[in-house]
Amino acid sequence: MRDRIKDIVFQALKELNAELEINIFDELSENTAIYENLESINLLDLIVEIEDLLQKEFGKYIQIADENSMNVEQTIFKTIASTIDGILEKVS
Amino acid sequence: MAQLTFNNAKVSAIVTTVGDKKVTIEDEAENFGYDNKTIKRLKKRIGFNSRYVVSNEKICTSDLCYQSAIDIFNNVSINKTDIEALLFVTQTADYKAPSTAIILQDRLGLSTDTIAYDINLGCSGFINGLFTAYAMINSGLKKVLLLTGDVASDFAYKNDKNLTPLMGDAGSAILIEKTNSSDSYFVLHSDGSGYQNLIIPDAGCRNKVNAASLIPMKDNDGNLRRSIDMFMNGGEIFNFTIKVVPKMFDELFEFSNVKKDEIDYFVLHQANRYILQNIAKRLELSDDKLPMKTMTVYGNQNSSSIPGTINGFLNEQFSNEKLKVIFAGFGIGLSWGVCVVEIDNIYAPKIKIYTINTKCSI
Repeated sequence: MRDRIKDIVFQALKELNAELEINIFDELSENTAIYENLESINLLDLIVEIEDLLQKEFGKYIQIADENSMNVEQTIFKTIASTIDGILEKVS
Repeated sequence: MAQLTFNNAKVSAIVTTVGDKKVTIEDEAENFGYDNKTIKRLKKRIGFNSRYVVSNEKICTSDLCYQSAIDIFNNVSINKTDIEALLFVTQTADYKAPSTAIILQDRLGLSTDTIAYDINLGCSGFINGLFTAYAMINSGLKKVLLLTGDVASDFAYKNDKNLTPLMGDAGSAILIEKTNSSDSYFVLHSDGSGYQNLIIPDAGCRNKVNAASLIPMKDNDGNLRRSIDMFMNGGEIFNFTIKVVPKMFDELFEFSNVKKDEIDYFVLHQANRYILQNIAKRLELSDDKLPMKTMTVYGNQNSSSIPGTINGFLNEQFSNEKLKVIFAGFGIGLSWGVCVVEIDNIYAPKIKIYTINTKCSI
């Protein structure tokens, strides 16, 4: 399950990278920082992209945004690893 | 807990008037420093496209609401002296004092027996205003005129790229009347702990206007505004909406015993495409049941975004059908509310553009 979610997060970040024409996410590892590299509107882009991909993969809507998404201390979107783990918790 | 039921009030007419100047995102690209890539992204993700604003800074919210109210008087069989209460929900009153509703009582030619006062609310204002009107009917009044709206150009600084390109100017008039049977359910909430996330810091009693209030300053995002203008912490407002909006729908369904499938339309405050899509996905609603285009065409109309959506996109259905609908608003305060009401062939014309020469034919 974790690998499936990791693939989805990587795919969403690559698409965001291409759409924004940035090179922040050219080389991805689980330690790559997300939150500190994105403006809030771009983080919202990423959330929507991941939710769309999750819906395709699991056949139902899974909300990954929560009341802490835009809180620097508590967001699950700090790094790729924390994003995957946060989503895993919501999926299960 | 603020969960309330009424069975003797109904909405009879909804009219919305928008500002007379259409502005597209391309028109504003230079002012906000948007390149083509940014414009494309804002259109796709946030839903920016165009907005309607007033062409002249002397046009107030009360002028837009006046035109909407006159349209009701000209087209609905009603003696305007039968209006017993006039409520004006706005953040952009004509004066700091007195209540603009009282000025409108005279301007509209209503009786001096009319109860009239302002309610200072934004995006949850339509729900709270409707609740107050229904409560007045429940207490014995027969006709209440609710006016909602804002000239947001008045409080959003012209160079604030976080807020100004979202905002549209609109004023609505809603006629609420006594009826024999029409069930409605309201759920209302407030949380002042987040008041600083959407606020005009200066020009009230707490922080008086001073010379510094008028100087544009860069905030942490490098965004320019003055402290007499509205400030929005977009991230915190997003966190707030994702926390409360889905939950209030669950609360309404549980409290009212109304089932999702009984609802013909879900008309939500139109500020954030993500939250609208989130609710549509959670409740498995098709796009036609939950309209989402108001902000794209007219801009965020604050307390008029729900009536604005009805007049903009659902006027045929509201004019010709018997419906059960949910309205939901959320925003400044912080404040949020949701209700389910019955609608039966009401007067709901297509949205109006402001014209300066509005005349009453009765």
